[in-house]
Amino acid sequence: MTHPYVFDIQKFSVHDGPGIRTIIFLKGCPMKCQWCANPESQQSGPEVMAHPDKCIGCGKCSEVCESPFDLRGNQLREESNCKNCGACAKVCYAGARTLTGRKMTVQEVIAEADKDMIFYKQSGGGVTFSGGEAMLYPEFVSQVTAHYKELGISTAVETCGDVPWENFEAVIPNLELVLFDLKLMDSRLHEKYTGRPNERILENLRRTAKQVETIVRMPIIPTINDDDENIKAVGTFLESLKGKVKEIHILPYHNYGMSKYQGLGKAYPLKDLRAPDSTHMERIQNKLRKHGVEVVIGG
Amino acid sequence: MAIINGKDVHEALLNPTHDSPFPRTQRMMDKYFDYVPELDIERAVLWTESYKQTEGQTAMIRRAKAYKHYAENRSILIKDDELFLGKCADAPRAGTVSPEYVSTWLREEVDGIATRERDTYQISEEKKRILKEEVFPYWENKTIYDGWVAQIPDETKTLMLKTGIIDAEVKIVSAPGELAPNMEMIINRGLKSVKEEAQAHLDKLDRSNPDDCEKMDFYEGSIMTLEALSTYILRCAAEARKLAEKTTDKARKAELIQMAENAEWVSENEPATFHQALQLMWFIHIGIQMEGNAPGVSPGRVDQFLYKYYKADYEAGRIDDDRALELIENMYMLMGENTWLTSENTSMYFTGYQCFLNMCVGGVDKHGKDATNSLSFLFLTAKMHCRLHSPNISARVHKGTPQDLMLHYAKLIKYGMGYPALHTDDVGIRAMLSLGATMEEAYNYQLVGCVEPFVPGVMTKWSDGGHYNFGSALEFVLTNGVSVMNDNRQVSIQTGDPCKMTFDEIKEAVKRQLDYFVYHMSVGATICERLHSQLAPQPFLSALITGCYDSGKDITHGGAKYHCGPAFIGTGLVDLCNSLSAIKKFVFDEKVVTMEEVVRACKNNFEGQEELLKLVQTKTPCYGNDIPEVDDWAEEFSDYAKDQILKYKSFNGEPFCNGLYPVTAHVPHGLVVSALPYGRLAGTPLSDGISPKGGTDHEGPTAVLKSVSHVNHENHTSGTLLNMRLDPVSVEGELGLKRITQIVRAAADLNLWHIQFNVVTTETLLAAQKKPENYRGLIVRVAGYSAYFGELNKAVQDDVIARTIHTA
Repeated sequence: MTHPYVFDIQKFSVHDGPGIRTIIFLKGCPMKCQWCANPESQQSGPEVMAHPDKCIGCGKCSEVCESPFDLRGNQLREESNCKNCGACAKVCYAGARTLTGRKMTVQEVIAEADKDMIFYKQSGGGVTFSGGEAMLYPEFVSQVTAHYKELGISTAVETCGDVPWENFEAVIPNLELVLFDLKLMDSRLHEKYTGRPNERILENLRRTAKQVETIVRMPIIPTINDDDENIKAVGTFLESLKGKVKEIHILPYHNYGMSKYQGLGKAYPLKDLRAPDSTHMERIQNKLRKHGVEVVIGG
Repeated sequence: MAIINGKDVHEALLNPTHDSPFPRTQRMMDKYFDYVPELDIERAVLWTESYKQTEGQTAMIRRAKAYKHYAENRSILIKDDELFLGKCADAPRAGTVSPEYVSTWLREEVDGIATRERDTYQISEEKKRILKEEVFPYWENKTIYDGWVAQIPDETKTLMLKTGIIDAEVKIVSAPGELAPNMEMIINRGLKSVKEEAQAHLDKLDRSNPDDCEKMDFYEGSIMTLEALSTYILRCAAEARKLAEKTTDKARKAELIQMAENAEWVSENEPATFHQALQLMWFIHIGIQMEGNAPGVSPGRVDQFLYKYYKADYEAGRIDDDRALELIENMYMLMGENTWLTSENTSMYFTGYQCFLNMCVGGVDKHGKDATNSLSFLFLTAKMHCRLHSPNISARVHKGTPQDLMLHYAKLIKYGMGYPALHTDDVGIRAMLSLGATMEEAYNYQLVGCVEPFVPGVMTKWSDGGHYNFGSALEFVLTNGVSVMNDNRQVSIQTGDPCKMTFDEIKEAVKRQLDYFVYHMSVGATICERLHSQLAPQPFLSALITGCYDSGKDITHGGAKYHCGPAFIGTGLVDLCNSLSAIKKFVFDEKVVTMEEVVRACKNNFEGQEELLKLVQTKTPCYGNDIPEVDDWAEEFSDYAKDQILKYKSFNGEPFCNGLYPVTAHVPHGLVVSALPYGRLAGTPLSDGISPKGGTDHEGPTAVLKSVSHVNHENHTSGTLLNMRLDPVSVEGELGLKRITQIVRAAADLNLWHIQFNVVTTETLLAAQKKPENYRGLIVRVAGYSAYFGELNKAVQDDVIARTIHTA
């Protein structure tokens, strides 16, 4: 079994499925969406992140780094040929360099998620896998979710959908809910902005919705996927699923992830893009409603 | 009518309006914020006059006579819009000077009290002159404070007198409170019946019998004070009638006559209506305050003992829910005027003009079943409308608490004032059983003061008999008993060279320091309690506590059915855990620093050791993040302190108790604690109660609750306290309300005793700090109670801001 790197386990999450939940974020994603709020989730291996505002200039990082480059206060690592070994993060007193991504076993993940059992029981909450793309690790996700399903705890996966159908087949029997991302209906544009076409995604969504409760989640990215044509295409597609998807959550774009790009030494492709205002979101909500689905802003 | 757990709860109660629907309440609220607290010297003058006349008589009789003199001569104030008679002081929000308790410190502080840093009181030059010439000279060397300082041993003095390491001033500089009278009994019976009971006891006694003398003094004193309260009540009624005659406003005239009739009736009898029951409850509270301006005198379970009056009125068509709500709101407005006068030092520990008057709703009945009724909702709704810092509203939570009531709690929480404080029945009931209460008594527990569980009417317990801090215990292990912030004086015992200790030996040394603290606190408390019994017995209050009439003793002589405590309150437990965590990780496990370096850093406030400071601040595994190894120390050390405290017996023969709530003690204690190994700097606040140290909990609210659940709450019978700040965004909408109820129910499942929320953004707090005049009504939860943010001093404001805010 492939053991994923976990880059975050977030407690008290209330937006990714019912009740109070723990979200397990796995590293590695087939797509590279330009608006991705978790750029540290894209690569499957561990990555060093810099937080230059915390740097106290002690220079310990440079002492242990193989590269001759001075790392102090630095956020761009390209010139330093960083191999993501994490030695700098280990010695950084100030927490200005951290290594994101920790290999975890099924038991370790369960032990961590079990800590909030009492809250799942009180709230009807549970465990949600997210990423990156959790469905890249079907065996792993399946083992963890099977554990919770047996205890009667809610299980969910948030997915971009761009994995072989077999992966879904392996996991779906243990799931109560799938949060399925939908971005653009035009495959060419989809590929332009995410790096991948969308045919397999749409097919997987069709099949998933038939087998398990599915909520579609759509980030609203101004100028990229908020045009009437795309919204209408999304609505028509949902309609074609004949009631299998009852709910779509539209999520306003935000740029909170911007500093993470800097920390990883990556360029942020959408740095001039503004978040959509509530009127715009409501307009889209009304349009989608005409297709007979429940539309929630946020989620 | 909605049926909730088989009881009638009116459907309309579930959806209250956002603001008070009554213009009367609104007018009173508008005026409230213009009241400037001042000193009320009436009691001081009258009490002293009486005392000068009673030299040579017993303390019991002298106090009863002084009480009578005060009741007969104090001024009567009735303001527009009020529907109840009676005041605790001579002006709204005034601090009453009780000379037998406060004279020593007030003599020194009276000139600066209008301009001190916290809780200021205005006073005219003429009043100052009266105090200085007619009051203070008489009380010289006669106060409890004077006696205490004269009697405590030198070692106790070194550790406890004005060092801030242990602070027991609260019970030597003001009247003791933290008590719930038997409101249910007095309201159901009326004053006359209680007087008759005392008389019946008295009639059986004989002055020629030496055993009877003290008892006779008690019964006589008790009757005298009960009669005096009736006199005061009738004087209020007469004044109301006078005003009624004068006014041309017909509606107000009718109100005043009604108020006078109510007062005349309850001056002797059991109330006939809900309005009268509230009125009598208020007079009883005033009666207790007249015996000594004390904190934490708490009516308690108002939704239970007032219910039968409400129900009878409702069924007879005399009242509807609107009228009941208006009456409760009016009562709250008057209660909000009650203030507890504190010394400069005490005000550091109890900032915010609180009198800690606590009322509670919900919980179980005497059969252990849910006790929710319409009044439970009304008392919460009134708090949504009367957004004052006081009274304190608490709510009980048990497995059978109806979700509708839980949602009502959540609605009030969303107002952001920190009300209600939520308490877990399973924990409170077991805590009361451990103090000897019967099952039925334990079911009936309420809160007094902030978070202290208490069985009304049968118990006495100073739930705050002094404060100690775990931070100093750790410091003294590092310094071998020297207090860095007290000019490097040797104030505690030497536990040896910390650099030669193993980790377990360090923990043991902390325990030795705690032993020493506990020993001296018990010495100090016993002397204090004895002084109260000698100088300030309480014949009035004792009439309202079961056991006193049966035993013929007042509460200060151990007359109550259950005499518990006093309790010692520990602060800085979390600072100790975090410090141990840093020492273990960096010195013993990873060996990246030496113990010598840690000791030097703590003594020098990390000066010249900035890298070490960063390391410990960034990488210490801290309490509040659901890390069992760290959290277990909270359990180990809090239970250890409790066990030590319970080894000693108080003046009346029962063991002391422990509590883990700070009020604001974590701020002044912090002033005297050196830097600590996890990077808390010298002089800065300690952690409050058992809440995580602000900024060190980053795993969200569920992790905080899990950490806090490591403390064995029911062991700490004077209560524990958890503050949690929530971002208003995360409690928005119906889902937000539901989420609050889920958190609270989970906290109850985890056997947490108490949780309170501040729902306010950092931005709002910062803006209010800059422009307090724009935020006069901004109330925040401080610690077990709420206060106006603008009336807190900056250190406490900063501490509230520094609490980690939890977002969903």
